[in-house]
Amino acid sequence: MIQVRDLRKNFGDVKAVAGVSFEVGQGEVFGLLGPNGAGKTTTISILSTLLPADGGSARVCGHDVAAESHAVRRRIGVVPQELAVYEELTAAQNLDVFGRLYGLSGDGLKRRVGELLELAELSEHANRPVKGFSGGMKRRLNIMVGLVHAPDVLFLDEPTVGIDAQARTRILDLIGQMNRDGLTVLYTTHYLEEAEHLCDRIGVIDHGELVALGSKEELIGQIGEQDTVRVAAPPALWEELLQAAASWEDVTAAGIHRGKVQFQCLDGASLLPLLGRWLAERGLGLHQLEVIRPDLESLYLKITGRALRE
Amino acid sequence: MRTVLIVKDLRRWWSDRNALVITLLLPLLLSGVLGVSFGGFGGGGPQIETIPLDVVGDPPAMVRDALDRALDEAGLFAVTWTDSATARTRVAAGKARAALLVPPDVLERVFNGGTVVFGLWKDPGSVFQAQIVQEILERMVLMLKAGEAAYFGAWPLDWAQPGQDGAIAELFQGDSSLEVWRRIADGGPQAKAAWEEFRTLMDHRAALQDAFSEPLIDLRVEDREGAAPDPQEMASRNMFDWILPGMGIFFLMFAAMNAAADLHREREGGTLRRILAAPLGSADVILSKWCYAMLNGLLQLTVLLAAGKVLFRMNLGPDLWSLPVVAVAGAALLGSLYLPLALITRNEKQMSSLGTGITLVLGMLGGSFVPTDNLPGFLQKIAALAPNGWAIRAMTDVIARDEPLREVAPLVLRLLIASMVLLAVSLAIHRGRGREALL
Repeated sequence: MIQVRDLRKNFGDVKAVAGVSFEVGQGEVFGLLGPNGAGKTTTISILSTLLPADGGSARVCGHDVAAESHAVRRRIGVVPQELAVYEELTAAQNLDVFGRLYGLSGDGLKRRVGELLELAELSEHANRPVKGFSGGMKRRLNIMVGLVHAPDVLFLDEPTVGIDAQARTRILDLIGQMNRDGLTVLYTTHYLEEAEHLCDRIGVIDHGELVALGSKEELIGQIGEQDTVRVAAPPALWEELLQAAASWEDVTAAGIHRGKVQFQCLDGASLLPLLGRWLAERGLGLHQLEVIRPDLESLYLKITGRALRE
Repeated sequence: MRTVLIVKDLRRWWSDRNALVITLLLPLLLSGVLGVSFGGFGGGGPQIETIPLDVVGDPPAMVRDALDRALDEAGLFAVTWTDSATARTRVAAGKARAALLVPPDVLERVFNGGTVVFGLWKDPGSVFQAQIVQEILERMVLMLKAGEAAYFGAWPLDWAQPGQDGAIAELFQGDSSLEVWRRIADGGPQAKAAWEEFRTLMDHRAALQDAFSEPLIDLRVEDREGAAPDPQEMASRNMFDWILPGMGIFFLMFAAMNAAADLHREREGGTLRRILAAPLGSADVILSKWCYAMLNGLLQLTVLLAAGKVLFRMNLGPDLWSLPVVAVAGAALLGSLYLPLALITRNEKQMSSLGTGITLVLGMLGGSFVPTDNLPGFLQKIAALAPNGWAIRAMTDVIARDEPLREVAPLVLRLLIASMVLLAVSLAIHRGRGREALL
């Protein structure tokens, strides 16, 4: 549904998008993960025909975004990062306005508005002005407005910014539900957990460049890092424990880290029975145990040399 | 252009209490204060000086008194009775706005039936309204004729000769018209005299009836070459008629600026991005905003004019269409005035600062605060270029000078052309910067 080839966009001397290439298949949820200013919004703006690219090409639903912008616009829905709804109007009026912009009218539009309000659990608030809504309600309406004309592809630009965990979960569930109905989604976020939870594939973007691309598992596989296991033990036993660990299969390294014994191993879960037995033989239990798995944060840290939220 | 975008903006405006206060209540309040200060409720406040009118002729005292009384009751004229030569000179010099010529046979015409032909000389450059004089003269002649009719109606038997009282009654005494006929045919001289008396009475009544069925007067207006009209001489005597156009256009400018600034608010709120991602041209966005600004301004003007009419007896022009056409042209211009500014400024704050400055300067130059004639010479030349000034002039001409559309058509045309030019400039700015201009 989306093909992007060597896409480039500069703002003066700043390279906002520097040769980004990726593809998104039908029914896929594709995440663009990166910090603020990485080039996610610029990429979405080009794909949704709002900005012209300086180089490269992009096609959405088979149409070139530069040459066939009107055809692209009919097939896409855009959910901007801002709460792009009219606060003075009611929820139903907001959906009605944007529906009419896409040529919907009459009973068809009325029915569609009703469906979307129900999907967003806003039916009871359909005729209330949006300015009285909570942040979560506004965010849900913001997404529904992007869906009013039943697009084939939905661009979601950080749709959960500034809302609480509960509201975020509802929105992620909503997007998941829409995706199960066949909607292709391009989702930008700087929240790792959202990308991990929602996206089939993820592109990690930094300084306008796509630095990693693949499924979550593939990306973590690219890191090649191991699990880290830390456990509390009396200092008198540290030396003995380190010697024992040297003989355990999977353990590739062991040492002391901030008052705990730390092991590097291929699979942290397989180490736990061995460790538990060793401690039990000495009348001790597994206390203050930590199993740290490699994640996208580790990946980002490894690729860019800094944490995602720095 | 998408109607839905205009309707959306009007709905938002209607739902926004602050916008309603700024665009409707505040202008009403301020205009009300000004109206009470200068016009007074019902137009009863201080008024503009009377119009000098010369009256030429030497009619009988009865007509002279009636004419003096009618002109005085109108409360519009300072009347000077004079001769033809003096009147001609005074009109030419602008000392009299017009001269009314009373025909020597005025009394005979009034009482014997027939149309009374008056003449009116006026300076061709003068805004003097002959219609007002015509109405006054018609009323006067009608009153004279009505007085005669009332005389006959109240005392028909005064026409009977002394000693013949009751002769007509005796003649018509009886049950059938045959008896009356026999009495006339066979009767003596008294019956015949009564019959003659009755016929005379009927003839007078018939003559009166004929008199009312003909046009009462014919006012023949002639232009007399003279000096240019004094701009200070004003057609309307209600000060509110002169204040409202300037104030109305000034408030309209703020409303138009607010409407154009909505582009910034929509951009900052993200809704503009969403609209531009829909399958419509970005020119649609600009044209829709212009239409919204225009409709918003028209609504504001309608409320102001309606309040002016009801509260201050404001004049709404000589006909039903002149003022609406001028209002539409003015709103069209002001709706487009701030669009280029919205497209070249970075944010609403910047636009608001610049726009307020521009509005105040244009308000000053255009005549919203002081008449442009009171400005220094070099400023008057600059003021002539202020487009809001054209709108104020057109509205003032219609409201205060009671000029019809054909008189203000050049100004209306100028307003519409300027509006199209400003729209073209807005679209060119937008085209030059691409959709990024709105993002």
